[in-house]
Amino acid sequence: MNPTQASGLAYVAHDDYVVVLNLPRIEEQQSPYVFEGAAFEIWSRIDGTRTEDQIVDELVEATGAEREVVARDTRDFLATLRGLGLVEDTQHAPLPPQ
Amino acid sequence: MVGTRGLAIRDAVALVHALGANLAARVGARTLAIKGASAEHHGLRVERASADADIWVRPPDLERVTAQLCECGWVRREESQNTSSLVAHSITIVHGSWPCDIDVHWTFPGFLGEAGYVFDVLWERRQTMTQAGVEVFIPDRAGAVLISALHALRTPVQTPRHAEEFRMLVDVCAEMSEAERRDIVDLAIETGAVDTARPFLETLRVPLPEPTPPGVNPALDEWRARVAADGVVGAQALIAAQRLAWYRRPAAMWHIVWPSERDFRIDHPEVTPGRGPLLRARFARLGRGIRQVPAILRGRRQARRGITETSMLDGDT
Repeated sequence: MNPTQASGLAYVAHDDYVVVLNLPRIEEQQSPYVFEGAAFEIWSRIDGTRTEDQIVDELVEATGAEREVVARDTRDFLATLRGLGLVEDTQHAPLPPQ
Repeated sequence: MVGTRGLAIRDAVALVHALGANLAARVGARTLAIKGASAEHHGLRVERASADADIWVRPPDLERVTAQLCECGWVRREESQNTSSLVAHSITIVHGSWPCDIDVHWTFPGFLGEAGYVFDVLWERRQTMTQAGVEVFIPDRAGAVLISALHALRTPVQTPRHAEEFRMLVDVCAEMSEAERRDIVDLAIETGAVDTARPFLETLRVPLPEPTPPGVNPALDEWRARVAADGVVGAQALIAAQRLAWYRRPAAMWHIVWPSERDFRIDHPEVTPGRGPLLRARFARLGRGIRQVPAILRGRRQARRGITETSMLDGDT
């Protein structure tokens, strides 16, 4: 199961942050979310082609941070995003190893 | 992990356009994003952050769209009686968590055709642009040109920026083909904007119909009086009072000159509490009003002669 950004979201993407408005749930989530820093790095990799583990691997490689910490933060953030309806899980096969 | 960065106004305006288009689609309403986003898309003004998003709603759809926005926490901004009487083309909707407003229009000043008809004409020519990843309807280039021209002509004194944008509009249109320029004039004729936008249309080097004489169309007379008075608030207030029945005019005029404290403070939130600051601000406002009298008189003279002011073209503003 690969996490992917939910359909129907409005978003403005910049080089170092993204602003996301949950249009499908706009009555409950009336203002946008601003993802920057680690949240932005994770969000940018949620595209339905990467598994959670692959996202963690990429972040560890990019930042040199401890895998355990990155894995925990990524898991928590994805859980929050799933709860908000900003992320769904797809059945897409993971990308073949490069 | 969600950031602490504030919501930038430019991002907010793009998202609000996406929100408006989404909510309108849910209820089958027709909306056009106008002014800032649309003008930039058509290359009619330089990119800059707008303070609000302007959405033109087909008049019969207005209530449904505003109701949808209210479901999402947006509310109509409290406004004074004077503002309500002066602004007869849109309402302003605000939300405590958003840094920008939404101006919801049901008509646009300067288009003197029937509001629903004018919207339908622009709608038939609509195009799309992407705002925050969402497809949004906008007027085509000719429609956007007319809206920009009317907006700049209507209140030239409000900001020198209007004059700059007007000159840019003239320069952009000078590069258009004759067919494009003729199309703008034809659209102006169809939507009742040929007299109101005449100072701009005359720069297009396309034959125009004869100007409508004064006394034929009260709305045109009002436009001429307002524009020739540089759009000052006093001229707007006088025009609004003249729309009323004769027996209601004295009270309306008095309210314009000396509004209630509640209304005054809505329009002037910068005035500090207390009677002293209030009185000083009231007299300062009166002074500004008196200084507007020559402009108001000039506007009324121009309207009586059927002349649409052109000083913006001459760089007088």
